[in-house]
Amino acid sequence: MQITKKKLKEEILKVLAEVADDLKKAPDMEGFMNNYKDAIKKNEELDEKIKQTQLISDQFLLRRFTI
Amino acid sequence: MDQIANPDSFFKIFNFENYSEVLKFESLTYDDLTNNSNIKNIYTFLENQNCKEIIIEAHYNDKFYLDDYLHFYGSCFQSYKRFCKRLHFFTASVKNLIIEIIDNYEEDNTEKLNELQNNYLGFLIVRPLNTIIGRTAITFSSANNNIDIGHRSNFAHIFTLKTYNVNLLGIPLVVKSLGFQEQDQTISACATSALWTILEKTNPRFGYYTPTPYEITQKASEFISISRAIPSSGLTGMQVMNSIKKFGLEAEFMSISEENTLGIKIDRNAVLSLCYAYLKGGFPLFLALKINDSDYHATAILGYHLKDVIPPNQDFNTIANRIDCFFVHDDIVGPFTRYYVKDDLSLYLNKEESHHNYVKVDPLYIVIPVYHKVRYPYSKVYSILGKLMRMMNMIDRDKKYSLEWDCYLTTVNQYKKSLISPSFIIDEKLKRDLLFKSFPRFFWKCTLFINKIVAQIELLVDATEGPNSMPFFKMYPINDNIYWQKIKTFINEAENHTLIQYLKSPRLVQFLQDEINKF
Repeated sequence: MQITKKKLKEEILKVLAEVADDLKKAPDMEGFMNNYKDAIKKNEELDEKIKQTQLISDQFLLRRFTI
Repeated sequence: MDQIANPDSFFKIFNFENYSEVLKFESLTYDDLTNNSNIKNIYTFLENQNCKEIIIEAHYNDKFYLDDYLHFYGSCFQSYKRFCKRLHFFTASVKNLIIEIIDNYEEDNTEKLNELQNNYLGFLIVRPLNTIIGRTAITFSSANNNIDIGHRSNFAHIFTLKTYNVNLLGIPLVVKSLGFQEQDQTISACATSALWTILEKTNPRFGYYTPTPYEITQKASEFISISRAIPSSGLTGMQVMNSIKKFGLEAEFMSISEENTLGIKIDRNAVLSLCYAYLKGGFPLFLALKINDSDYHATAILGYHLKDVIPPNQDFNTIANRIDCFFVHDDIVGPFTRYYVKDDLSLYLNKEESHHNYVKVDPLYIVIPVYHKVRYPYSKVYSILGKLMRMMNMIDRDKKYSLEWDCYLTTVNQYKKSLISPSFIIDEKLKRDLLFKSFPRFFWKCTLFINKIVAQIELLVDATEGPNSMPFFKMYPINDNIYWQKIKTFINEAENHTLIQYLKSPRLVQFLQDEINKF
């Protein structure tokens, strides 16, 4: 049940027409300068969470799947 | 053998009575059959796909069961049968069609063969044990769910299937599925069955053979353990990873439970995103679970379903954040079991749908067997994608559109095939440039989508690199350059040291500046 190229193009053009004005706006340089330090904190928090996903105690890996 | 010679016993109308009758070996009662979730779920699965007829090969030699027999059942005092049955399922009565094909095989049978193939749903091996469901490959068709090869909402996406070549009375048939079998509780418990399903896909893909359940349990048990290898009382996580490595693959790992990670809350999007990145790349996942707060279970994740609604108030979205259900081979419930994903990442089975008692399962960790050349970890790609999306959100705070990253592991062959596929829309000159450029064998393909459908930027990350390298090697615009121009203006106007401070990588900033000015 694959979408056809023609139909996909139509859908893309429709979405692009809806958001074109937004996309064409100049980037908000001030917005970036005002907020990037807070964003760095969020990035660091995310990195910390990602690090946690790589950790597990050996003891936990020794539990047996018995069902 | 008499049954094969008699066509009337070879063909049966598909209904529960006939289905349970042909599944039965002498040692099983009707109650044994009706209490087995696998049997009921496979029946419902076939019924939903409009199954009409069963063909029975009553004397079938299955290489996977035979290996179990050689290493255990054959040396027992009690007499176990050596042969299995193989059942084939069709969506129409095909008896006359098959007889016509057999009787007139020298004629041009293309149309009849196509008709037979179109009605074929797959096969099931019946083992002569109490745990009867052996190697099973049944197609997952649109009758069960809509399938799509992209990332469209409200569709099932299963990229981990493979093509099985089947020969029935000399007639070649194919079925696209991924092998399922229930544990026999002697050679294999749940972890062996899950790992067998995964290696059935991953091993042949990289030139290795598919090991038997006995070989998986045996290799796993080379990791020191106080319990016996055979009869198996189940594998530990360490043994699972040992087995994967013994078969020539590497094991990637991700912890999911807060219990594993000393209470630190796991990022939901990161977990779903990792699952998505490997599943879309065609790698099934080993999922370790806890059931009823005390029992440990293992299953294989094959695919996912995407909901339509993008979760609100997120400053970093990937398509994976829309996963609301996983399709799982759970060897005590059945093939393609749906695990519904809740906000806290706990998983639920629909009791009526799964015909089984356990409803809630707590995921503990995921193990992904990968080829040894897949080295650059997804977690690092994910971290960079998060930084880039936050940057994009900051320069366009009042936007009315939504952004999502679609990131998955791909190969140069898959990527170039997708470039020339009719559904891919890209500038012709850029397409030719990309086709003629040499790429690493494995890379992470990251596409930025606007409002779920309009791809705008593609970023390629070399997956064969080491974790401390600079693996980003290509970035280009897709569909049109409007959004690209906005990012370009920002990258060129922003102060260099601020970008470096934000992205924490001078090499990445240099890469962005170089690539963005090429278009």
